[in-house]
Amino acid sequence: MSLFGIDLVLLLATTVSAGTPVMLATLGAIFNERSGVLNLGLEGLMLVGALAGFAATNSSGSVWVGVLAALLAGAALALIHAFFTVTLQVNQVVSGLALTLFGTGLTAYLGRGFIGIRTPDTFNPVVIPLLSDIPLFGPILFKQDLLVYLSIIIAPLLYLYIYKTRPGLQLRAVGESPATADSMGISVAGIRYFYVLIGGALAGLGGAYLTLASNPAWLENITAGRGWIAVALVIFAGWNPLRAILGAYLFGGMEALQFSLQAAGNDLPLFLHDIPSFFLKMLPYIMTLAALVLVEWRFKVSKKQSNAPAALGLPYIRQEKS
Amino acid sequence: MNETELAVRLVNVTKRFPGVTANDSISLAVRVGEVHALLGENGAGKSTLMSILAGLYQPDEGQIFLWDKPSHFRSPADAIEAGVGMVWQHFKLVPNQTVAENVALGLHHPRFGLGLKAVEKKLAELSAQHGLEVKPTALIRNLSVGEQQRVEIIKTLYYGAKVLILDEPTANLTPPEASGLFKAMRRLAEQGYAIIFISHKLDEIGEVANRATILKAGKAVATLPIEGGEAEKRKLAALMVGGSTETSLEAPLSDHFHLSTKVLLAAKNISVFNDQAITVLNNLSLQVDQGEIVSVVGVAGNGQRELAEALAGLRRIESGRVYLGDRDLTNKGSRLISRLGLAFVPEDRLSMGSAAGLNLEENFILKSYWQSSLKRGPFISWGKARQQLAEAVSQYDVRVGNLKAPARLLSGGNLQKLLLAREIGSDPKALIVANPTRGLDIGATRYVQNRLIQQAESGTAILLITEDLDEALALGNRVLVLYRGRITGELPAQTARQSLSQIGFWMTGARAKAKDEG
Amino acid sequence: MGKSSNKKQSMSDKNQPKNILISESQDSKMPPPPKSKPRVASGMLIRIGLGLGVPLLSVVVAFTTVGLVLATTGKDPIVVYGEMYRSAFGDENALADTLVKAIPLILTGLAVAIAFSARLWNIGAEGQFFAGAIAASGMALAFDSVLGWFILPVMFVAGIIGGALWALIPGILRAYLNVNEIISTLMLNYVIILFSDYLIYSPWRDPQGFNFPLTRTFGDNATLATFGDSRVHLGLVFGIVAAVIVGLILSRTTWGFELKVMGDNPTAARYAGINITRNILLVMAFSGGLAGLAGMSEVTGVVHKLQQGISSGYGFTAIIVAWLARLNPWGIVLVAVLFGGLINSGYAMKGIGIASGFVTLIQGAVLFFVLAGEALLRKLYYKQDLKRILSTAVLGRTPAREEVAQ
Repeated sequence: MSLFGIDLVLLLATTVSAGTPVMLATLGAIFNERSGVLNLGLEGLMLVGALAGFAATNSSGSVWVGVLAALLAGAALALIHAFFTVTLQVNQVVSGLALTLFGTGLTAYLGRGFIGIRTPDTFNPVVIPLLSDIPLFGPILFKQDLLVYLSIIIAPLLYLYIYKTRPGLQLRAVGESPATADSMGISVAGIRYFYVLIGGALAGLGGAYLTLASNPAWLENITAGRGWIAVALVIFAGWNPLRAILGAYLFGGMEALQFSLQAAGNDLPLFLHDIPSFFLKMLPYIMTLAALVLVEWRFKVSKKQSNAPAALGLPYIRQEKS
Repeated sequence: MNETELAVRLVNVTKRFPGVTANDSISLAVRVGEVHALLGENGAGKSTLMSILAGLYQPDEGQIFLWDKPSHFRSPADAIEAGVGMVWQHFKLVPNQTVAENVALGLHHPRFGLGLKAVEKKLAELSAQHGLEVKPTALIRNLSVGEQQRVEIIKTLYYGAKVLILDEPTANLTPPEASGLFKAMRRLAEQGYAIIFISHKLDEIGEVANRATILKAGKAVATLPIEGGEAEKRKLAALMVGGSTETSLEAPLSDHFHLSTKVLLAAKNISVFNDQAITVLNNLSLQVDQGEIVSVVGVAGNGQRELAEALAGLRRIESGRVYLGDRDLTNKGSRLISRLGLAFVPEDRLSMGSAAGLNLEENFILKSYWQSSLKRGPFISWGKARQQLAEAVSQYDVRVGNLKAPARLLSGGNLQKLLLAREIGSDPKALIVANPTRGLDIGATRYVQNRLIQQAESGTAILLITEDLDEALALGNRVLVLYRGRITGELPAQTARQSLSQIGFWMTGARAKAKDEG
Repeated sequence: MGKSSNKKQSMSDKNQPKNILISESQDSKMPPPPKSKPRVASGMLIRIGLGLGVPLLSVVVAFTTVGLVLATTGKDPIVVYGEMYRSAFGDENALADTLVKAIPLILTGLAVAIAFSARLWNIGAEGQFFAGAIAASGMALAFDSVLGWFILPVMFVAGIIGGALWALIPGILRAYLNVNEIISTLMLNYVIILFSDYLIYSPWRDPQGFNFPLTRTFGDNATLATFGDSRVHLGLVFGIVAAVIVGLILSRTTWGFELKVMGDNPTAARYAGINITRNILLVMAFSGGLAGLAGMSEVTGVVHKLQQGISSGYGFTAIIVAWLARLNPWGIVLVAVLFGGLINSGYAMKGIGIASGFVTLIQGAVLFFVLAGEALLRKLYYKQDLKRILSTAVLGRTPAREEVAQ
């Protein structure tokens, strides 16, 4: 199937893989923010995960070691954020910004030696028998790499975890009303630390997808704002893991479209000819902003309130009396 | 069951905070099957003592015995485990979760799943057994205050509490809700629970308690059996207040009269939405004469906040009009409205009435910084601001150390005095005050109430929106009852004092219903 | 209360350790407030401690930590830092270059600070810098041969307007739709930088430029004057004048007061009748205008053309500068010079084989340690608040005792 020289199946398949890193980071951030801690450090976390995954794969020769390294590196950097926001109770916005700056600088500094190297091992498509033969859906969804499958499985699992399990109930209580959770003997600080670390690990994995699957190489600032887009997608998704899939593929779609339009060149109808690539590259950012505007506009029209966790961004200080 | 079996025994419990001994060697015994009232003024140490029993604080000295077993609680969870359940005045509930989820939050089994079905079933059983009606699948944020309180009580029962502590449980209830609660309390006591009931309302204690322990300035003054009657009330009051001269409990307020019939503030058929675009004020009308105090009473959440905000220009009025004298104030914007002479002291002193991180000078000129008397060109004249503040501070007896200190450091009473000084200082024609004495100690409460009366006597029309019925009756010339955004009843204050049950009915919407049916 | 309170005060005085933080609370016991000297002095000490001590210590600790990173990656931190110092402040040339780098930092730092004062998280100073640079460059490319000396005022205004308009987009979205300004300003950063790339790759590319992505060099009349033969240009004056103006606005004007109230408590601002929507638009425009001016002064004062890499991440560094200076305009000028030196030394670092990310790394670390320092100091300060409350409690004032019980 193709339209004006754009292979639609390829477009959608690219959408899925381009959306995957952002989805992983968004899912991590949903966890993170559900506990009441805002994390604007996603960009830095993704970068650190990307570099750690790349470097570990390089030295070990196995992407799985890389995945592990990315998870650990993301969690380690997130630990700083947890310490600052939960223990020191500093402004969460500024701590997140510092995290991004720190991660950006650290990876640029440490990653210099890795520029121009290819990894010995990458994530390659794993064709799932039978399922991949389904027309249309097969090639789009079932000829992807393992991390894509993982992300598709994780999202609904996280949904179930958050809404249907005891740890999920506790997580929601801490993000909605930490004082209540505290009075129930739930450790607010413990839960927040835990999910900030989990969020960091998932963001790190999202970053590693870029260097181990999308484009197996390290470049400075390889994330190119995907961490920030994930921050926006959390709002777009209303802190709901299932809607994060939609958001991430929307972003992936924009990125895929940008490639396809560039590739299609003169097969396109005349009005699409010669769109400078710079404008195509703006697409994901503009669409992210547009999606956010749409969400807020709908809240404005329906007069409903956002479903952000009620304690998001607020440090928890135990009140001595009730 | 032994009549005098003791459920709780506190022996010489002492708790010190830096500089203050909140509990000074207090001993207290609570029997199985009794409702034991803990009586005392604000700051007498009731809440601290119960926080110790509930495991929130650890005592510096003294011991706790439950059924004669020495007990040490390191956390509220320990206390719950031992069978002590506390219902705080501010509920500990997650608004965005259901009743059953809130209960499940405090359970440990099953480890990973929720077992909500089982929780819901057991909740329904408990609910029937104790006559505490709750719907397990309801979202907390959709429940009334009374319903949420039932959830809190049933939650502690679910966790196996045998000793129940209720912290000023009637503070936000309507009279019918309160008597429903008392019924439930007595029923629980009969079933063998021990109930500790924190209050400073003598009528309630006469109605529900078997015995009462009176605390004063951190010490237990006496424990008495309660039989009811006026003489007993006077005795309790005397014990509670003791030799203090600055407060007397009955404290008759100088009944002030207003003679003018000139209407100053009038709302005519106003309708207003809340933040969720739901109509919360429905065709409401009221008027306040020059020099009159009109009290608006009602259970929290019946449109009080929106009424004050709409009149003050902070919320859009969808239909109807508001007048100050002859001037139409409807949707005129808060700046213009305050300029025309309508002042407003909001209920949330820290979150609306002041910018808590800014200093006292800055907070004092919050509503007047743009006036030419405080300005030179685009610049604020801080010298003049300082001077005005210094005058107000001495005139209103605001006790502060440092005028550059952030407002959040002021005690509730001093902050309220500062806000009153600011609002009254603008010499308003009309003044709206919302819960002006909530959270204040008796001294500050009297001060604020007297100031309001003085202001009315000097001709200001005052609309007093309050959840404290006593205050409404003591200050108001007239009392209006607000229920679901309508005025359901109105009485002159003197009549109202004799017709509390009538007011109670109005607060639960009696007339509104009659109207709907008719 | 007079007599007994004095007695109790003198009693408690004996128990007080000698500590500046506590001495303030003692004075606060005396109502009504006499303007006593000790309190003012200790208040100043606290402010100086907050304003200088904490940031300084934070910077020292940050450099130490990064030094450890250096050491573990096989570089001698002492050598590296020595080289950095030489290249930033070592001689007149180095100092001049540092000042040149400080100019855009002062302007963007002020831009960020005024927005932050109103609790608007404008993270888009980088983008607004580019918008200003593009607008100013457009004027130069179109009119530098026809307007004579007048081209500079035109570029000045164009730079401000360019930055202001670009910042107004997130401003409008925030004011009317409550769209999170952090995300919108960030997204727009990427957009405007791509747009700038487009301009220098296509329509504005210099035909005589050997196909490099840059515009032609502006005419001499579209170039800012420099001080003597140094590279320090008139932008320094823009920065200092802007600092004066922002300082006056925040501390003395009614508008600045409104911004502070909005920043502390938006509900109280609404209650006070402050027009929040209008102020969001005004602050964003003002903030963007300052960042745009930074972009203008950079293309006219330093690069003399539009090309890639006209910003060394000034808009982001500005956030740290503003925070480190605790949003104080004069502090921003000072910190901007230090960070100008840091960025300046980054170029020298490449010479000794250290990646450019090194400077960003230090910046992130500094911001973290400043935050940590503030948090620790706040804890101390809160203790002092508590002491203040307690000391009044000793006088037997019930309100204070209630607060303790709470």
